[in-house]
Amino acid sequence: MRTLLAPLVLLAAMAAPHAAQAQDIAWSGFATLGYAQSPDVPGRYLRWIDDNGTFNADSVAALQADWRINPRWSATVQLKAAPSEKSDDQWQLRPAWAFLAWRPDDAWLVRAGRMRLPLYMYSESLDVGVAQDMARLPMEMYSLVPTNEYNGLSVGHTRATSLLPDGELSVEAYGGRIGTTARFWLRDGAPPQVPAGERFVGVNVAVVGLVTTLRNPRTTVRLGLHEARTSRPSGERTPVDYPFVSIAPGLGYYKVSDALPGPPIETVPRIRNLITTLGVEQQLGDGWRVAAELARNKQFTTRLGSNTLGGYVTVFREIGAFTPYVSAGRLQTSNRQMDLYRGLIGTQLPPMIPGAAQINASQRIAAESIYVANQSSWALGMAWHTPWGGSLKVEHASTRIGETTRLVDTPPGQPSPENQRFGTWRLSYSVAY
Amino acid sequence: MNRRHFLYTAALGAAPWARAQSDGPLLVIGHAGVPRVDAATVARLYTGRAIEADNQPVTVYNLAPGHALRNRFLAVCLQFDEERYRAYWTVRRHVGKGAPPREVASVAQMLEVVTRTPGAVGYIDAASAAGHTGLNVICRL
Repeated sequence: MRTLLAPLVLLAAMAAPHAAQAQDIAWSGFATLGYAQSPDVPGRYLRWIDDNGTFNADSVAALQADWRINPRWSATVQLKAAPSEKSDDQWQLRPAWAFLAWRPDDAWLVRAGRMRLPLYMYSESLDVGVAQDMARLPMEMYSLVPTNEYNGLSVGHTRATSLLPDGELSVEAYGGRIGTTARFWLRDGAPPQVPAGERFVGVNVAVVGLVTTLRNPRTTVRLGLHEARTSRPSGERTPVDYPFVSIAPGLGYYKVSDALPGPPIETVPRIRNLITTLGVEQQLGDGWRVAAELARNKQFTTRLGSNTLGGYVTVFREIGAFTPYVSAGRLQTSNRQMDLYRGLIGTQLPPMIPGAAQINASQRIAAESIYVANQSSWALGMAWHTPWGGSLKVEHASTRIGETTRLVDTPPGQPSPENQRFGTWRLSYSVAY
Repeated sequence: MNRRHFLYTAALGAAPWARAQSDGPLLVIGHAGVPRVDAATVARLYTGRAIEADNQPVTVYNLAPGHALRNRFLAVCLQFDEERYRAYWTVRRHVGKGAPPREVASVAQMLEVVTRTPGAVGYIDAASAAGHTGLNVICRL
């Protein structure tokens, strides 16, 4: 937060005594009003989407101020209104950008403050609806982290290259911290101690990364390597694994709490992920364009937590003001995590054993705390760049749940969806000025 | 249209094919001491991809939207129309890559601001340059 405050205070302080130079602060903004509905999802998709429909999933608005201090220095603050990361029922106004930028020359760009995490090919513009033709970027790729902003430092270098005709090569190194909230969904919980429903857990993430982008007017190729070290703000340690405690032949439980009998649970103060991303966008001529991204999110240290392979391919065709597209995406959790998930969900103590209900519920909560997701989607949509400005988009996506997916909230008492398909409609209008 | 495509095409793709139109050349003018540049550099300056002219930091000025000379400059220098230029900057500014050039309302203001502001760069047409001695023309389009 201190890192974030610095540019904000600086912007305010430097703007005040130079009111006569008000033209050096450029104001702009963007907004998307998006409606999403799923008539047949077995629960709720992406926190809010169900048969009742929602404006929460895709709507966002932001106001931005760019202060052009001089050709080399600038400051940017963007306030964004969007659904809260800490509650399913509230919206939040927060600074999405707040950074100072320094360009010592044409090649180098140094930024410090709050910025967008350069995780995906469209990270920087993912809130800006008019910058995208897709109604929503595929969740099979764009759900790696619970937030997309970090506080830190970014150093970028751009130069011409002969690797592509009229090519340009840019390298960005960054590092910083994310203080965010991870959301879990507990189907049943363990009442009264642990209620069913959404559960928000604060996490601190230290991130460093290196992103290389090669592009020319027709082609963009982007490779990113990112390391994330995640810990709990409370100092609570993360289990490495849950030992299985056998109490009789063919009968046992996973020790998910120190209060249960059994060997000690090994824990670590933080977990480490290495995320490798690859993105390609290619103009094919005659209005055709293809974009594809792939992310390998590899979990070290523990069998809990996200460990996935995901990606998508989208083909666009620009026809005047209209851009129809078709997209296919897939997200798969690694076997190591899935095996533990299956074990925790499938191990049930019979009711005659004292405390069986609580142990069974605790095992389910532990399983739901693993970020497992196996799903694939097809989407067919179209963007219309309207003559009065802005983009109107419509999309229908068909999502197939495999063994399970954390992106769907299952109502209490209902079976977890498995090998099911559901559809999602989206309609949105985006503007920018 | 792929909006991100704008971010690149303008700076690297358009300028080499820029050519003067039949109604006289456009003059890119700079404050005293701003060095001469080529058309590609002018395109990079007006798309925010460069901030320097021969290693000297500059501040570029644009005419206001709707001005006929602005439309001609965008077409000749960037091969953009107004809509595409605005779309380009809409994306660029909201991905944290800076703000569009400052704007002035008229050619007279352009001449004034470039004359009195160190490091300033603007553009006028040849007819508007008549009678103004000592202009620092850094590029002809």
